[in-house]
Amino acid sequence: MNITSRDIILLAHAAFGSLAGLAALWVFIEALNARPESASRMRNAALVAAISMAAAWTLGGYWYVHFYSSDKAIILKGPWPFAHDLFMETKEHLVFITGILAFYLPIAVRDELHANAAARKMVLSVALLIVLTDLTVEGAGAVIARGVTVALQHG
Amino acid sequence: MQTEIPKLGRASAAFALAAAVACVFNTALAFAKDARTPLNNLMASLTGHQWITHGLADCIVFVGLGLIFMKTSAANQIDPNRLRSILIWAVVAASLGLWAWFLLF
Repeated sequence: MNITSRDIILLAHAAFGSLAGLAALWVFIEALNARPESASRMRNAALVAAISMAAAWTLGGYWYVHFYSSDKAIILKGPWPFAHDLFMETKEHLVFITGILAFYLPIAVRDELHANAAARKMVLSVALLIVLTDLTVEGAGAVIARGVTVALQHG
Repeated sequence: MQTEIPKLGRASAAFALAAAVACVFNTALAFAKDARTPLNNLMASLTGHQWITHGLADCIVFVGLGLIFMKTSAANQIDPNRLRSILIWAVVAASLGLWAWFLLF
């Protein structure tokens, strides 16, 4: 078995991205039926989402800056150039939007959601946007990985 | 009797508006650096890679505007439901804008 640090960084990037999405989903579910006793759970989950997103961002950024150029060259020579031209180009910028929302979530959950409908709706909206953009980014990552595989299979 | 609409907390409102602006800024900067190679090169020269500069610029806009809006209470003047709509539409427009840009250009 030969797992390089390059592989570990990429897999950890995807894992932290997924964890951030799951934590945001947790916040969304808690906020649906916000109660005073669920406030601390929600704040912890929001913090997990923000920290996981920061980790995914840092690891993904390190991988992108140091290792992606060789994958990009392979993709562009293969039958799926759109895996870079569309999916990677969009993903590398869309992830900033997910990140900004994830960094905002711990601030939004500081309000008393059980007593403030406007604050609760804000948290529900932000958490859902994180989940949706996070899933989009994860899906784009899968297309990019497939773009490399298809290119290598094509020879 | 008029029912008062509950307001968002000062920080929550301020950073919601800052997040909306930062998301649109992110997409506008992506368009600009993709269309203008000198800007892309300038961003690359600042930190060693344009993507790092882009991320830092987004963070500075988000945190900087959030602190300014908090200090001035500007975001608290906006109806909370309207503020939520602004954030949702900013995220939707910024996200779809990215897909459209890289699909078409």
